Amino acid sequence: MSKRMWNVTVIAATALTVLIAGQSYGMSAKEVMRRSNKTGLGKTSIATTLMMVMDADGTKTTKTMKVYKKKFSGQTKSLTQFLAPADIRNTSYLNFDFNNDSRQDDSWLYLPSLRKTKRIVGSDKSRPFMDSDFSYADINGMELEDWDYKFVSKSDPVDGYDCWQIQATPKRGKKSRVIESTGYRKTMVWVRKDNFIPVKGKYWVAGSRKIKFMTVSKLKKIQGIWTAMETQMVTTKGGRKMLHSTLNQVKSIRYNTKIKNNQFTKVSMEAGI
Amino acid sequence: MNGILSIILLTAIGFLSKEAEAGTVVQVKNSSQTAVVRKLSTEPGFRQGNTICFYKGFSIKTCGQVKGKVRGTSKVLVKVRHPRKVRRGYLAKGLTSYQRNMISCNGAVRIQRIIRANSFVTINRGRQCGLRSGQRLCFYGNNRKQACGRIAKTSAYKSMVKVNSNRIRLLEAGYVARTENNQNIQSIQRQSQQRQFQSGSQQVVRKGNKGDFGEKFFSINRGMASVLKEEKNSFDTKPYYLGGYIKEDFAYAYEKEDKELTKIKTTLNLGLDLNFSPKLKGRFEVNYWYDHIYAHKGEENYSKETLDAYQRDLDLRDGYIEGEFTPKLKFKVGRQIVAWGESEFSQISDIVNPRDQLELGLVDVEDSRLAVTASKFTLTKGSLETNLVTVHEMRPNRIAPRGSDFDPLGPIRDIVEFGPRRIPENSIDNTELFLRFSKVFNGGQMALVLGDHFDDEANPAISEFNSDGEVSVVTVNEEYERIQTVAISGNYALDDVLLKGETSLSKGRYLQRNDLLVQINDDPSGESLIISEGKDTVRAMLGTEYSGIQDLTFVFEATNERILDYSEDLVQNHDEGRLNTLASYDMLKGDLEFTASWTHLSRGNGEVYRGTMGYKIKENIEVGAGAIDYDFDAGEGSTLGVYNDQDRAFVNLKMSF
Repeated sequence: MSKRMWNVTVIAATALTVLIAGQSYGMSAKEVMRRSNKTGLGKTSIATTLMMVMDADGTKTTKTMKVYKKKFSGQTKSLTQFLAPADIRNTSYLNFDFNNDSRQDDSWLYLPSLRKTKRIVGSDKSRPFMDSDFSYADINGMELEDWDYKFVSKSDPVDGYDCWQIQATPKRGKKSRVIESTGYRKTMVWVRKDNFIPVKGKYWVAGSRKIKFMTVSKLKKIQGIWTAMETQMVTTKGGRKMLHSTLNQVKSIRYNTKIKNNQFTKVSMEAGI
Repeated sequence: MNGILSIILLTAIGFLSKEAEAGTVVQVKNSSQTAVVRKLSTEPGFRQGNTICFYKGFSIKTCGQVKGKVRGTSKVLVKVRHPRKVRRGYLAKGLTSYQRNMISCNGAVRIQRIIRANSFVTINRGRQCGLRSGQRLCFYGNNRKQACGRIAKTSAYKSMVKVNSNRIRLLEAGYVARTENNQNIQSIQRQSQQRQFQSGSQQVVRKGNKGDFGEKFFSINRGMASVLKEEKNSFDTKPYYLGGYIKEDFAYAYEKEDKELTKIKTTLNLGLDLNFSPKLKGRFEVNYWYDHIYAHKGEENYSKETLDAYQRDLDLRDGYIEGEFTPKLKFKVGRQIVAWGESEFSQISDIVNPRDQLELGLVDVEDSRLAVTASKFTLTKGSLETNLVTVHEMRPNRIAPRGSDFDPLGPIRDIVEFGPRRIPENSIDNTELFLRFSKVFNGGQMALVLGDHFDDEANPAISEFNSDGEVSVVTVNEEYERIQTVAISGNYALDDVLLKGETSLSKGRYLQRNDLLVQINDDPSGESLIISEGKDTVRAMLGTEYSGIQDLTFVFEATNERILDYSEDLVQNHDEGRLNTLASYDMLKGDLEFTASWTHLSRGNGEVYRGTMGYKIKENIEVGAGAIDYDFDAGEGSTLGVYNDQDRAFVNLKMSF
């Protein structure tokens, strides 16, 4: 090998190495969101959470639930069992969320007063999740490919942590469908650079003046997985007047524990807590 | 080739220049608490005293400061407090200006810039140091307070303060910002944190300025959090749980000639969940109710049957033990309700439990199924579920008794005397058997039900016939015949629409004849009287549920029952259909619910309208109100026309615990 050839090879190898090393720091907004979507879930999780919904006049309702989640090939199954209040105790919600967006979720609701499990329909993920300020789209996440992402700021600190501030708008060809399915015409999230957790968000609700604000006020690393222990979503009118808010608090959570596959069946729903 | 390499190299240099202070840990000296970092660039990013942080991936493990003077060497020494947190290969990066600002909120807060045109001043601290919009600050210079103002806008490390336009001329860049009481700005941060964490205030929103980007909403509501923390965390692991409700029902008959209050009913519901082990549970639930109206109006005004049926009742709705033999094979033994099928209104494949028909259309759906003692075994294999149910208790439909407002047999009681009901004994021979296979697939479900059971509707069997030539009295006993049923049900979801259907074939159901008087005239001895005939019937339902509009659910079902091998002598028509429509709408996040339903029955060409409203006053207190209106053809021979006077308005109050 000639000396010139050798030099070219070394330079090329060095350049590629540097490129790879620098890649994570030069990520696109979409790549950040992709990483963000992948964080925060083990293969399985069992969580007990409290959800407090509060109106502007201070009226509160608190729901306590136990949520089982498990990733299967091509889908994520979750079972939510309500522990309190008394009138909805033992109510269960079973959901199969398919990775392939063209497949509609399978959902069932078990109502203990009727002793009957009903299939729930609704492709509309903009519906409120259990009458809270969180929508199903907020809980289950939004389809990455449906949105255009751009950095508003590559460095905006939140609570002392450096964050990417990323704005998302529905892709041009999918705009009406995305708005219809998520209920949002624009979103903005602050993603922490150290762990890719979205810690703050602003969501513009389509067809109304409502703007929702999300904050994660408590993050904890549990079993090596960053977990939002307290998340608040506030729905406002025009960003100023509070309409209602929901605080979701994780009381306990365990990741990657063994959950049997038949936990996610209608039989388990009906068996109760 | 060289051109491509140049581009790659330039791009790489671009990355490097952005991350000029980056380096890699090549050695960690625990004894001297030092990490040796090889710089990735030649730029002088690492200077003595600079803060350097160590990253594993994207997370900062620890930080330290550059030790000693950095000369032309490519290696620098960084003093770290926790050397064990640093490993070879970790990335070392210096802090950017804002990061340095983030880390230190100490030092004087000073005016950086004065915008006299708008009466704004900019200060060198922001949210990172606890400053928030609306906070009041004062500026001190020349040993005296010069002006005060409120923060109008904050960024991470800068704030804009609006100052009185008359006072702004007194300010100069470099003046110190302090609190009104001449305290350090840091005290605001501390006070703010203390207020947030210690107060039980449920105030979520503070007044702020437009364009504040909702910052006010981003502060977590500690009031809510503190309330949540008070919640007991014991429900999850309790071996038992006792709950229930108390309900008060009032009903008013507004269509009767003598409008009257017809119900003052108190219901106590108690439920007990027992968790013996993760694999063995039990549940017991009893309903006790007492209707005060009968004592209030005088019990002597009502038939014994009416008082027995309506005045008080104690019903064990659940009383079972459930567990698993294996994870796939489960059992549930005891008093229970087994709800199958797709229909909300008709009993087609939902044939295990009898129904409460004491008050047509008035009984709440959740109370309409009557529990039976049964053993249920469930085998689950993938998405296929197989149920074997054996029912050990023969419990027929509960129908309105003689003399009551909702007595369905009122029109024929003049010629027919009803003896006691002959309910089959609870014995092994009379055990009912049900087998169900159910398969779930993406978007839908199919089920097949086979049943060998008793018909929960009575067959009026003649036990006695007396005639003096002019007056004939037939005495019948309500008997319950064994029938066989096969049923198929299924549903399929299409976006916001659920399509559903059910059909069943029941063999050997006894149906009432309509020619009793003709038969008596033809044969006055009554020896050949036939009051009912065994027939096969087919029931079918097609329906849909629509949930495409937020908070609104719309249900429609069309049901038909056809008698095979039909004869004109039956009370029931060859085909009898019903249409059910129900719309329910939630408001106030589910606290307020409206429901309206309309039922059309081909028999009696009748309509039943029902509207209800439920409102949650508090988390555990709910008030409801509604009305039901019956509108049937009241011609000769009509069996349902009697309901036309039984329209009701009702209210209820329910407290759960």
